[in-house]
Amino acid sequence: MSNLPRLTGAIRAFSGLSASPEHATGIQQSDLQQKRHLVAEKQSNSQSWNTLCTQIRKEVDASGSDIKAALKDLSYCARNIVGQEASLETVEGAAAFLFGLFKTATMDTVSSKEANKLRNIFGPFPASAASKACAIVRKIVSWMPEDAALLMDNQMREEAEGEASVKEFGQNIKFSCLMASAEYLSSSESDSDEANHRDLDL
Amino acid sequence: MSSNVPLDKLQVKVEISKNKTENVPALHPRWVQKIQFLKYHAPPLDVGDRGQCEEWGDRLKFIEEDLHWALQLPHDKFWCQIVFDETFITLIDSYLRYAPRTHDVLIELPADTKSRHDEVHRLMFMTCLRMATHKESKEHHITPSVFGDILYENFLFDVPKLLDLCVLYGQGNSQLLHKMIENVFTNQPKYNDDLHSTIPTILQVFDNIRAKCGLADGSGLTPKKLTKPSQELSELGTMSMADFQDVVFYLADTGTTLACFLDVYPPACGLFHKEDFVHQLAILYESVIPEVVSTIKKRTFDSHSHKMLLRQKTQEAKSSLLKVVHLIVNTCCIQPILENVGAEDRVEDLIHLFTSMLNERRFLADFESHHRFENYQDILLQAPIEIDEMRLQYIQDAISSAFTTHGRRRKPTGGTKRG
Repeated sequence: MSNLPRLTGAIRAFSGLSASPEHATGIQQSDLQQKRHLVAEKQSNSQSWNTLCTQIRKEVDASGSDIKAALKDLSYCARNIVGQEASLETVEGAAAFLFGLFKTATMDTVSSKEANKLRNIFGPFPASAASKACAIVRKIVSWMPEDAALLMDNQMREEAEGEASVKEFGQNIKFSCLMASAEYLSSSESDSDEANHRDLDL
Repeated sequence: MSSNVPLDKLQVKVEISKNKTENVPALHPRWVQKIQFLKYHAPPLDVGDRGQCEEWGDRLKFIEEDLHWALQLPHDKFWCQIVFDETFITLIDSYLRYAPRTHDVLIELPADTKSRHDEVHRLMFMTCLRMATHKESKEHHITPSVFGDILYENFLFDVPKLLDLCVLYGQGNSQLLHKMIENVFTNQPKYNDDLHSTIPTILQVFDNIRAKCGLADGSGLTPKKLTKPSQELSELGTMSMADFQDVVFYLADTGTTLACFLDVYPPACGLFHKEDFVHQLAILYESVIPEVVSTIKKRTFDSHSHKMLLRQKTQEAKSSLLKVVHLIVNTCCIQPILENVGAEDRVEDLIHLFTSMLNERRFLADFESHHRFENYQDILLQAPIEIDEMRLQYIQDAISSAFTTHGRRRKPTGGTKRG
């Protein structure tokens, strides 16, 4: 559909009035990958991964080498999920995200809800890496006293609060999402868009 | 950030070290957040390709989230993002270019993806509305002249984008869209110059379409080789089916885009009228449309549905091109006559315009079936000025003759009585 002939395409190409005559489409699939990395990074930045590691080391009742190996394995799974070319920050962000996602899991297998969450952020991912990450997180959580796991859960929940009160531009403006109708050009148009224009000074 | 100072003059105090602050403009790249807005891609052609569809769905989801985020930004942060983050304006540009038009043939998207696409469609409109608004509230505003410069110098809007906006959102949102576009043109008169200089490009598009169809000489003055019409295969008949389809789609898109724009923003009609646009459009119509109609009848199609699709697109092209003519005639001649603003000149304009098109008989016949000249004539005769009725009658006779030869009555739209 991006190749459909368009009048505005010709104007962009020949009038010299636009910023750039043509954007290539379809060849820049990597922008989606980069975006996934960026989102993964933002979901939990490298600072919080370090904080998480420190907290786990403090709370967990297991040997230092076991904890180190488990965290290393989790990080390795995260790398498999985000891709080998991802930066360290992205991998650490993803590892922290995996911990948050699987810490309440009741089985070593990944549920469809968890798989959806992973796919929404990272795109297609190797299922084996996700299952392994789930098992590792469950192992780490099993080493923790119950109140410590609960405390970490509350901390994360507090961070997510306060989003409901955000106002969005346009949420009170009436919008008509009419789609394809070949008849409309010849018929008399009834513009039912007596919108609530608020106090926008257009 | 709340004050009555316009954003372009607003300064923010920033601590640069202990006990030391400096003033930084509120509209400054330092306030931009790294979001990396994704480009919009048109829906995949093959819904059976699950991988492609999922990837497209993911892209759409990120776009939706990012637009929600941008619309939730405070006024100053939104403007920093839109002015200084190239990926944001690239997203908007790509959406306006590649989003399916109301007249495009759409594949059936799964319900959840369709609903997400509808939401992105709405969010994109709100984003453009916010960009076209210099005063969001008493506290949040930009000096109008600076606002115009920001829009123009950063290519936030340009003529193709305004045309795209009309074709994407004109149906059902025309009043709001009219205000947006009016605001853009009012605060930045350079857009009028740009629109003016776009018209030759559009006329060049007409020439290109004629050339592609092997009908480059639209004047009808070049003698043609006499052959039996039924045996003759025009260039439209011999070109590949894909090329033929492109010609039909291009005609439909050209007509629809122009009709939507002029419908939403009638003040633009004047610029087109000055450039003899209606006459040029009539020449294009006369030479190309009948050939396209005849070629659809003659060509062999892979399927009946494909033939029907091209017939429907041709019908769209016809209706919309005729609507463009009607909008220009109505805005530039009929309305001023009704309002008695320079009525004598406008009457002369109208007579001159139709006289210049009397050779385009097929065009006139089709125009008559959509917009009867008699209706214009009635208005002219009510005008409080002296009109040479003979000239009007001459035009009416020529149109009636063209209609008798080539015309087709419109199907009655109301109830019909038998007997």
